[in-house]
Amino acid sequence: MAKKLMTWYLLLSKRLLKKPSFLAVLLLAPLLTAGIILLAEDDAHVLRIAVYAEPSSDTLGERIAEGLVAIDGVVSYDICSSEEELRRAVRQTRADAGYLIPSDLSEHLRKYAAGDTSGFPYDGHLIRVVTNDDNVQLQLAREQFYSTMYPYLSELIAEQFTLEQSGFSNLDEDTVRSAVKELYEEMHVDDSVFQFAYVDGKTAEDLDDVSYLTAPIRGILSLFVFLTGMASALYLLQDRQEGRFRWVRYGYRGICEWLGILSGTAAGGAAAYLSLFFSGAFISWGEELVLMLMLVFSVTGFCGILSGVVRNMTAFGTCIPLILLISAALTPVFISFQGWMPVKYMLPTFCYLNSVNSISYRWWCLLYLLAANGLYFVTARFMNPALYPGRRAAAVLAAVGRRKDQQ
Amino acid sequence: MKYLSIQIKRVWRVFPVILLTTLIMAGALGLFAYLQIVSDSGREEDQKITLALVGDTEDAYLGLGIDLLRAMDSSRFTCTLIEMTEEEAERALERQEINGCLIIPDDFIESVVYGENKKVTFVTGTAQSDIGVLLSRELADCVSILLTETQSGIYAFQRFARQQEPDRNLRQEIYDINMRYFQYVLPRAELYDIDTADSTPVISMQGYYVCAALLLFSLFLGMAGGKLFIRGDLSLNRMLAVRGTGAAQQVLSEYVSCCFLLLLNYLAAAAIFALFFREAGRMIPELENISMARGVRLVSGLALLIPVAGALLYFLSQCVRSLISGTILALLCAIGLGYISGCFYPISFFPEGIQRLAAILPTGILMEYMQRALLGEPGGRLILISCVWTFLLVFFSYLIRRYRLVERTDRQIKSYGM
Repeated sequence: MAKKLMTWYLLLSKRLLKKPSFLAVLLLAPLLTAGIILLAEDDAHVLRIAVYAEPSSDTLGERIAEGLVAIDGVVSYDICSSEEELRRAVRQTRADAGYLIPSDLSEHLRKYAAGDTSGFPYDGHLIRVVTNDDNVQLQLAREQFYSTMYPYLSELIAEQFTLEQSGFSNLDEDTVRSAVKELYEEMHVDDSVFQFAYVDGKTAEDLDDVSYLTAPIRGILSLFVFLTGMASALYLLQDRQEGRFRWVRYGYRGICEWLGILSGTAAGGAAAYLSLFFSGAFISWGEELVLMLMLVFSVTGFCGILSGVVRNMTAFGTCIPLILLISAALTPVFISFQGWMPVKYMLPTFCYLNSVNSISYRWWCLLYLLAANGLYFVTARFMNPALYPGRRAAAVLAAVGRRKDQQ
Repeated sequence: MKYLSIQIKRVWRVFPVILLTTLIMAGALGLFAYLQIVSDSGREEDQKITLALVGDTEDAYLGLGIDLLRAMDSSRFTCTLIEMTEEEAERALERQEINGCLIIPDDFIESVVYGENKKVTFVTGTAQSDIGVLLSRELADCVSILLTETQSGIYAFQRFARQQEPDRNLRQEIYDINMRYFQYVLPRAELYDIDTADSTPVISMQGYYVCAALLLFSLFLGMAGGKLFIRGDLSLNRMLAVRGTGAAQQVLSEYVSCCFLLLLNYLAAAAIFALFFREAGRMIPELENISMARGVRLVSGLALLIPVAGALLYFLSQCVRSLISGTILALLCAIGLGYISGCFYPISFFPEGIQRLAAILPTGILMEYMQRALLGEPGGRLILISCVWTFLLVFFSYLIRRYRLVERTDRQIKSYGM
């Protein structure tokens, strides 16, 4: 029996792999991955911000602008040579926002630390932000600006506070300032307060190397495997229509059809595994293999059930893009979308993507694949015409007819 | 002409099934989306980063700090903090209800006071790192700088005071300097003057993603019609070619029927849009208070999508010979082209080289055109480039069909030994 099924599996796989167009399409997965990796090598940013420091003998504004440009993160900063250039960049949406830093910033900060905000240059504010739309990302970027300016302000606050203490009123202001400044640098705390980790306790140091452009690779590849599964199920419907499995014994028909879906999905899984290997997101060959196998079998079970429920080829063809769109939106491929948990749990790609960093999701994934494939075999058995008396009689008559024809 | 009418009849015959399936699936999707919108408190709230706080909030200092952050700090506009136990936070992370979780060690405040700085653990979600996680990380870096710089200032004052008066009790002064820092850090948003006076209208995020969804929907729906246009066996077409319906006529007829399929779907989508006209206006700022006449103009303007997407889908269907390859190819192209044309992330997130490439790709041009149409701006050169792309894709389809019609005939002649 096992040998027979193996032969079936090999024949069904051979049928697919002999098609050059199928092989070419499988090759597209590594090519797509390579394309995304190449794409991420160039500078890419979530926000682009133009900065202009008004000309002045005080260089603090320029230093802050240079400090912003030096930040390596999801926000990019470009220095402009004039306010007009900055406004043009924002107007033409080459920049999402622009920061205007006033001249004599040190003096403004010194007065601000002393509680005097009357001299702020931009309608009573220290910094002008030119923008088309003020959203949450831009508010976050302003936090980054503040954190770049804050070391200078913090030093001035410490100096000012020290000067205000009655015990030191007899000391010369410049002496106090220079002494506190020196101590500030000496006592400076450099360590970050945060360390990053994944939910299963593993440290997330690799977050430093994460680019949001390459982050969706694993998700896209899981969608690719899902698609190969659904395309294989569509192919199965065509096979059913053309009667390709008609001569298989009723008891074996369900498993042969399942092998038909598995052959395509496994080929897609192999292409995805290979692509992951070169993507930089590969964990270890053993762990990835287990995860990929779980995805392949989950997808096979899901598609098997779907091919049993939707038996019309056109309707199935319409379901493919819609299910993929739902999967792309609800599984964390590009963005994490909150809610809809019952629907999410039904999608094999959701279980797979969450399994990467969570042990409990791996168990869920295992349960899912067992349930999906179990359900497929149960439905296949119930939909087996041999179980229904009327159909059974018709099937027996057809078999007798075939035997007579053979004789 | 007869071939064209047969192709249109084929499309017409399968259209009810496609429409019904689309309506069932899209209806379910729409219902979920509606429930989601109804249950959420507001759009601005949805964009915020939600973080769980795990730690001993009974600790007076930590509790005060959290209350200050929630009530007075500028970060309350970008970040929501929710107190949870570690188990609750883990479950919330798995359910993707939060972007991350901050685990504060028991004696964190004491460690900060003594300059040892025990680390707060920032736990990210179970799936891959997305933009939300990366933004949270940037925010954590900013918070870290604020905290360490404040510490440096306080230590500098302490050391200076000790140097001047070694025996002085600094308890009150240290409390005062902490309060002074709070006074400056908490209202930091007030330092900015937001100037939007001379800006030009830009598309809202909702409007942008409506364009992206429409483009993806057209590309993905084309896959549903793959069965009609992918030809593994061209015997019939060869016979037709012999009888006078050549490759060009065949390709044009099939292309027109592909556009007809997209048009039917587009009209169905437009009818649904008309039903939810007011709701759409509430969700998409560009559609707020627009007249019915402008709505009709918009729908007809966006119809440029049909010939271009149709040409692309038809071309892809001609590149393969089996249904399975065709379906996979169409999806990979839809995802790949959609990705670099800004359907998943806004195009401004990509490197400049890719933005330039997207600007000449048919999908990128369609995205830009749809955004302009939504803003009520003229399409200009984009219409011309779309026409060029449509012509090129149909022409390449014709070349493929001509090659395939001749190819098998040559092989057959050779096999017959003629």
